Amino acid sequence: MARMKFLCDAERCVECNGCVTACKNEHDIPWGVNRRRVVTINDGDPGERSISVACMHCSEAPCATVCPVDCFYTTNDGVVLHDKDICIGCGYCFYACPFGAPQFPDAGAFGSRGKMDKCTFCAGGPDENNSAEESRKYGRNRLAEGKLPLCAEMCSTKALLAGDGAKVSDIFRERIMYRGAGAMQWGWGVAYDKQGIKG
Amino acid sequence: MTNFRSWAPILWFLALPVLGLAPLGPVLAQSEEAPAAINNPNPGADLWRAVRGHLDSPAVTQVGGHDNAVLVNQEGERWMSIRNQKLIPQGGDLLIMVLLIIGAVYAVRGPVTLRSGAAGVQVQRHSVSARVIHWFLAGLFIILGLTGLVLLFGKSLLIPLIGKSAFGVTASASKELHNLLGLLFPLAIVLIFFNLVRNNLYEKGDLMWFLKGGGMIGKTHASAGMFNGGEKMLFWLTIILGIGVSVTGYILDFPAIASWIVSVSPDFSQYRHVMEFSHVIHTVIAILFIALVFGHIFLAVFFVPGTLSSMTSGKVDASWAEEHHDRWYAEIEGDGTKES
Repeated sequence: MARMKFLCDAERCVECNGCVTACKNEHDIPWGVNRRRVVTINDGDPGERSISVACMHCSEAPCATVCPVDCFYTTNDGVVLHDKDICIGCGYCFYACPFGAPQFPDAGAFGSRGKMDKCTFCAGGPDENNSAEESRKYGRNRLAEGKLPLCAEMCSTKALLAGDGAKVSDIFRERIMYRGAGAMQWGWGVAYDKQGIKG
Repeated sequence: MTNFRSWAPILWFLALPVLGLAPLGPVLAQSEEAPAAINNPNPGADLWRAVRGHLDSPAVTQVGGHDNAVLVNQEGERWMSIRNQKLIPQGGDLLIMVLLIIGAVYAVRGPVTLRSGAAGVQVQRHSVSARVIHWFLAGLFIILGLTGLVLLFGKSLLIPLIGKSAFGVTASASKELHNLLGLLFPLAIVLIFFNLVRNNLYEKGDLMWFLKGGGMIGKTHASAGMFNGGEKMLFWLTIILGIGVSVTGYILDFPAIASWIVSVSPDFSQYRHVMEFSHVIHTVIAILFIALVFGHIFLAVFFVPGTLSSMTSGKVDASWAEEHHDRWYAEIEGDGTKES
């Protein structure tokens, strides 16, 4: 079974924010919520690098271990999803997440946190695939249609890769064969328990 | 053999200069011709250190919102391990232990009945305002305590019993109640402070009350005024823990306060860190507070019969007053405020 992973090639990302826009549009995400963001380090200086980051769908995800209502689950593809019918919007997953992935829309009269929203790897949620209910809560379920996450599909420089970890590794390995390794790609050690090379 | 042992320290002492200085030999020799430091930094390594937040490289993002320019949240894992491996198991252990101790005390010493029996005469102990404020605080405490315990222990205790969906609804209601009613808690603390503070200042005799273990040690009853030493301790702990739980609770309720704290105390660096810190302090205080209230309820309702009526009807039996609060009883008898 495929193990889905994201990889952002910091040598290629040009901070166009196309992935952010594609994600917001595809899933009809409300104001104030961004499932994906691009962070630039040393902006305007030599050595500037940009990285696109969203939920990394960790093995042994920290969000799941702190969730007081146990609303997270991992699909057979290794995608970490959550059930919005159970989520209470406490914010603990946001405290624990290394990547700042969980987002909270304002809800209620006092602007308290609504139910958590995060990147689904375009795999929807526990409701029936591509039902109206599922699109309302989680956005499109592209994986069920045999498609990969739109952020990576739309990436103009193919910096952002998404898909089966082994294939992503192969593509990235081929790249560094040409241009040299540099350091390990970002986030894999944290998210996948140093399984980056194996895929 | 014994002979060698007694000599061993001296032998070691003699060998010390040789052993101790031996490693210094190469160092001394090298310092003359130390190679120039390798000045070939790995730009990749610097970048990934910056990504993990170990360098003060400026990071920016087009996406608005708190902490969004932070790529890796370093403190999250520490907060997670404190909550999952300390607060939940050890907090649970503490509460169970307190209940066991209470049970043991009750089993050994039983309820403290009046020696001279009930007098049948009632004396006024708590005014209407004191009772209203007490039950306002107590009602809030019970709701906040139960909802807080649901959020902390529900995953391990309630989900196996009622399932995820039913618990999701319970937890959602708990969170809303906790967040909304929690706002009133400081008000209750302020009210009870001004209502009861004048009777809870230290008086001569309070220390003796503690030395006598509140009457548990020795044959004689420990002398007390309107409130005994233990009740005064309860009062001041309620104020202190109440302030602590209110301040941290307000931070958790209003992330805007956390943002402000980051702006005046950059050590926190992210508002998330303020929330994590506040959550740990809030939980520790709350568990201690619940343990304290377990003791309070046990003493007032079960261990010393006749006490509860002072908070319901406001009146207590005259014998109860005389035996447990002798100095207060003498006072009200003297100025004629006693009523039958």
